[in-house]
Amino acid sequence: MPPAFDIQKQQNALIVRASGSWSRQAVSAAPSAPESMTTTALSALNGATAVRFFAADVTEWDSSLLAAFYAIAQEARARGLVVDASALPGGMAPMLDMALAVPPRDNGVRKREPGFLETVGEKTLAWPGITRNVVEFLGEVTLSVARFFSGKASCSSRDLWNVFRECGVDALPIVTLTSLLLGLILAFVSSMQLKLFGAEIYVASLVGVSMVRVMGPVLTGIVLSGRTGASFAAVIGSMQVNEEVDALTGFGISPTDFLVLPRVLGLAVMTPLLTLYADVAGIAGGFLVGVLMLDISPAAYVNNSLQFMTLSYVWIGLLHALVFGFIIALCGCYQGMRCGRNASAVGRATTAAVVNSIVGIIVATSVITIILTVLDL
Amino acid sequence: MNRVPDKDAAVTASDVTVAYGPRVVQQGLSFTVRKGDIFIIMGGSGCGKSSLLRVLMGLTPPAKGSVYYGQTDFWGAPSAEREAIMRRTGVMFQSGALWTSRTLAENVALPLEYYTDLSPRDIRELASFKLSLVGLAGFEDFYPSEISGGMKKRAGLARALALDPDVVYFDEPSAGLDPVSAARLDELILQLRDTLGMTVVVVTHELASIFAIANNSVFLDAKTKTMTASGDPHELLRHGPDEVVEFLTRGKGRDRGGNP
Repeated sequence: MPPAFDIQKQQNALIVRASGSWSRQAVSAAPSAPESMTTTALSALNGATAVRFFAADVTEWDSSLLAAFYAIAQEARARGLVVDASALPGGMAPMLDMALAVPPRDNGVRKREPGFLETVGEKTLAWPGITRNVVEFLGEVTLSVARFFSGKASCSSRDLWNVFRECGVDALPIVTLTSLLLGLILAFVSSMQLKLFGAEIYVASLVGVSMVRVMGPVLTGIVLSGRTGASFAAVIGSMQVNEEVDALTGFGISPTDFLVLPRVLGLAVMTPLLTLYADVAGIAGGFLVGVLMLDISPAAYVNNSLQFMTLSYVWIGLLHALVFGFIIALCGCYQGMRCGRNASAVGRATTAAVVNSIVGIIVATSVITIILTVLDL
Repeated sequence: MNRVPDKDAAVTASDVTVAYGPRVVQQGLSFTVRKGDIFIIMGGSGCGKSSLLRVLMGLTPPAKGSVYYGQTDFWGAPSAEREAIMRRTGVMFQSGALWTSRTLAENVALPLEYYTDLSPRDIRELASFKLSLVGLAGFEDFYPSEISGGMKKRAGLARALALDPDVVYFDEPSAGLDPVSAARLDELILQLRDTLGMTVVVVTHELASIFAIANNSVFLDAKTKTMTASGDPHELLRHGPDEVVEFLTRGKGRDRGGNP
């Protein structure tokens, strides 16, 4: 028998008589959903002064039946009606009483969803706070670096070596692969155009100069922000969740000195070194295409590469790399340090670290390029 | 009331307000923890005990009022002095908060490496000693993920003791421990106070713990958002306000079956 409510009015009392099978399976298979039954009951409340529940004809039941009773009783209570559940058989009455014992909180904890304008307003108002946080963080890191170079901040050498290994040596395979392939791609694409003029030989200098001056640093930066920046944010973020950062502060150990400083210094050293390596790998990629597919002799390829290469291109590339190293480390550590105290906050911090550092890298590249163009370098 | 506390005061709260942003959790808190006290901060769940502890140990500034260490106003002091005070306090966090990328010995050793010029061998010896004090001899090279929750707490205590602190804070020391381990931890706290002469501040709602170790306390009420009683819990049981007596008697016989 499907679950059903029989609702009657006797004098001023509303009689709610449940019947049939009120198990979860029966309720979900029932032709009329229980919510429509409770709605009917609720609309019948008007004019009543009491509600009485009966369930003598119920064959089987679980909390689905009580949930339906509860919804009606709750509304009846709110309207000041008398609720009488004493006729309910078995454990139903005590359970319903238990649920009704504590009135619901009325000072709504749950906020309603903010509208579009409200969201825009909140985001705008959050800006000064965020700016303040960022400036404060940069200030702390600057002070910490200053303390380091004046010998006052002890940044454990073990942590520094860990960073060197994690973002330097461990990143070699992926940097090799990506920059070798980038060299190949540059050589292929440029040869397609240069062939029209019979100037394939210039593939060598084109690949060499573009790798060393900008492509090498940008590629290394992007690989490192996905690899290292994300891991900085995740590691520091989960230390934040686990109160490990508080434990440092509790000993009077500055988390900036201890967690941020080695990562910033480590990446500032390793990014330029990795970039040099990426330059070499990229040029090797171009060399493979030039020698094997464009029939340029190895000697001519090397000669042409060196002819147009100047030392200032190498310095410019390293300058890019240094700036990128700072950007990646600062974005990763900042997001980790201000991470909230739950698992999804760590995820958000990691995402934000990667997005911020990649955007930062692109913006910094354009700024440096503009400045160098103005300076005619 | 902004008078400077007298000489045998270890930690003094003076009209402290604890708040999360605009939401005030507790206000008007004034009490003194004397040297050598085992001081309990008690109250029901969500009344702001742990938030008050963060203010006392210097992790978050109070929204209003001051915290004195001895006769020094902590939040008014320059940051170098604040760090010096924090170095002389130890904290055992609720979940241990061990540095998960380091072994237990390295956890205890880190503050020593940071603040002393001891040789690595001496540091290692000190770390082993502190671990053996809390019953973790032989676990030096284990990582925090390899030991049980109760052991993590004890390792956290060993780390809190690393710099021989004057004041040690415990955040819910017996939460999540079985009755026997919890009682053992209480004994350990008493022993450490007696032998090392530390001042101990404990946040807890475990009645058995409260009556076993406390000689002073403050009761925070979630409804009125302020302290409703302070003093020796044994005294409060006899002469305290009704809600404190109720708190101290209701759970009796329910947790740990202890007889206070």
